[in-house]
Amino acid sequence: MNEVSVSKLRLGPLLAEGGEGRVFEVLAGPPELAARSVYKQLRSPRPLAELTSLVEFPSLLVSNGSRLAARALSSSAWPVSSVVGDDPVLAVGTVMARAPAQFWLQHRDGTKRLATLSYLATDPERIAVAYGALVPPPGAPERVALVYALARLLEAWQNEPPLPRVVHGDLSGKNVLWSLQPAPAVYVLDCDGASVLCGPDVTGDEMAGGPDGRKRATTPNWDDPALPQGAPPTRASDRYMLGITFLRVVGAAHFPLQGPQRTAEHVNVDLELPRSWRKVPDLPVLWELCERSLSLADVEARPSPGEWAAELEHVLDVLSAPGLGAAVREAQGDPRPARGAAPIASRGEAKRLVAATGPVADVTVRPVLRRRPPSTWQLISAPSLGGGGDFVDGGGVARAGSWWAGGGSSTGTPLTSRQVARRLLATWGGAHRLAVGWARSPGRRRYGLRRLAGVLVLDFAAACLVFFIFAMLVSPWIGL
Amino acid sequence: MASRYLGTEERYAVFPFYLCLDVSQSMAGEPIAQVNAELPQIRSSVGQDPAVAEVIRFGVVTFSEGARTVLPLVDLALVESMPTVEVEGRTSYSAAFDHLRRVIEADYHSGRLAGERWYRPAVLFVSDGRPTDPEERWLEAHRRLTDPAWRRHPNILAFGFGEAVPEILATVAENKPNRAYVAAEGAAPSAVVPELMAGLVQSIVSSSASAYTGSPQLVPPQLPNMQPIPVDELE
Repeated sequence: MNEVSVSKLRLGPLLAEGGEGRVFEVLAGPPELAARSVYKQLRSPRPLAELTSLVEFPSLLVSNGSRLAARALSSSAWPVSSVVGDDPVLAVGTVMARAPAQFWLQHRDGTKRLATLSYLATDPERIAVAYGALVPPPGAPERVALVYALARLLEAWQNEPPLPRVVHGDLSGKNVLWSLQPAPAVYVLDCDGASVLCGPDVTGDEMAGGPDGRKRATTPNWDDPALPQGAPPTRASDRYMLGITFLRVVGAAHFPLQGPQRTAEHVNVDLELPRSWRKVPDLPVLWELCERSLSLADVEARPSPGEWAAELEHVLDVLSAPGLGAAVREAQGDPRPARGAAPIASRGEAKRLVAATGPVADVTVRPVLRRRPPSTWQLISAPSLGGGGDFVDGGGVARAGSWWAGGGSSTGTPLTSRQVARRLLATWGGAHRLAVGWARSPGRRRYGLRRLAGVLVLDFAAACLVFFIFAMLVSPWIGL
Repeated sequence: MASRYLGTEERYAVFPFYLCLDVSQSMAGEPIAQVNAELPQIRSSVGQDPAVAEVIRFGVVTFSEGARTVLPLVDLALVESMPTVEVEGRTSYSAAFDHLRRVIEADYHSGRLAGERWYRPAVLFVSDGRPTDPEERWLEAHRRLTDPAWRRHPNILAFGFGEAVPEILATVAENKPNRAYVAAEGAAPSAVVPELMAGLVQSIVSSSASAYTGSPQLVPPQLPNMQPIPVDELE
């Protein structure tokens, strides 16, 4: 239902209060409204037509034959109904779905908080010590999967004409929720502040300000420095926010970028990542995507969410976690992989691709691959699952531990021979899994088969060596 | 225009807040009970939000005949529970101001040693009465605290209720516009204290957001005629 009268809603307790309005639980309402809805009471009423266009956005996608609507609805608190008061042309609020339970995080003291990106954009050890919540380490595939989920949501919003398009305008640490159970997923809040643009003649940036040119809420520290003070957000500013989300979520750090970007001619960002990223051949392309997203020099050249989704899919594939990408797509109700460039087989190929586009003038993102520093906190049980562990965020309990963690090197103590053997076996198993994963991946089959052949040759050589040792040394010794 | 390097270790400057509470005899009963009931709310709202806690440091100083620190300046995310405050004796403003100056100076230096950068600290001064120490003494202590030559001098917001005198509060807030606020005459502490504490929380949270911008502001509670105050970073 597109509209509901405020008198038909029975409201429960106040859940949250912000600059834009107050959010109440809906205890009862018209039967068409889903259970677990919330009512956002706007501080200033808005034209009903504006909110109606938001409410109708998913159905417009469906009517245009697009399957992207599932992503938009599964990954955001999208307004499902406008709420009208006495004046029939003004909306006094909206009804939207409440954030599902998986997007809540339980602190050590029992309090439950929305699992915002703020928990990921800071040192994981601080989050563990302060709140008792364990989050994936920097560079973990799960972090990449969350940015991938956000890129896919934005892909559904930033359509090309004639499909309707959306500018959210305030994609920030507090407005994007995350969960890793049952699959990596994001959930974007404050979608009632977004603007929808329909029709083939209007470009994404002309919608700036929306029909009424109203002032939009933005979050300091997540805003686009290219946007003049007070200017309404654009499609390009949403793309900037995607770039900075990648940097902060994957790097698990603040990267206070906006201030230096406003004052310095050039900003160099060192992104520390685990050494497992060495095997990602796409790195130069990924950094170039990041640089173009953050650049203030040419905002129109910022990469589309579709480009991000395609690239992150490759990265997830290589980081020994091919299942994560599929899990994200499944959770968003749209299992199709990203369309886009073919997978990149080697670092050289990636460098050639980057060289073709030319350097970005004002931002350089440089990966620094290093071993994880000695950790104060070690996880006791770390079941290895493919490319990484899994995290139970809803209950505040986590089973963490990627395969590179949980060893002697991370504590600074020398490895025992048993640990060395385990490492070797894990590396050997990982090489096989990667080769098999690539061979099964339609876009990488050729490279995967080549890798698989290499791995099998090494297996054969190892078998020969073992046979030789047995035949020449062991068997005479035991009298065979 | 130059080139800047940013790495994982890059941090935002922190914004120190000192809650300076009057715990003289006049606060006995409901006012002090309300303060103790509301203090955990500050920890819950500030400490449990990672984005806010990251840039806010919070300390509580109480004063009566003397002054003492009941919660040292701390990252509220790392605090298990808030202290309770107890009613003591008379109302010595000079003790409060002298203690604040010593504490701010010490905290600044230990923060610098820990690698923190500081924005100018804010003092949230709350009193329900008039000072009982001689005027010239507390004025002198106030002058030392707010001395512009002392580079760590804080911005002071003053709040009063009960027997608090508006003129004195205005002096505490350095007679600067929009920095002193007094509750309506006769307003019950049971209504005033929760409202004030909620306002302080909202002020801290809003100020934390501005700290991320590089142009921080001390955002006063949403009370009539209160305006944001620009804040500079300490050298």
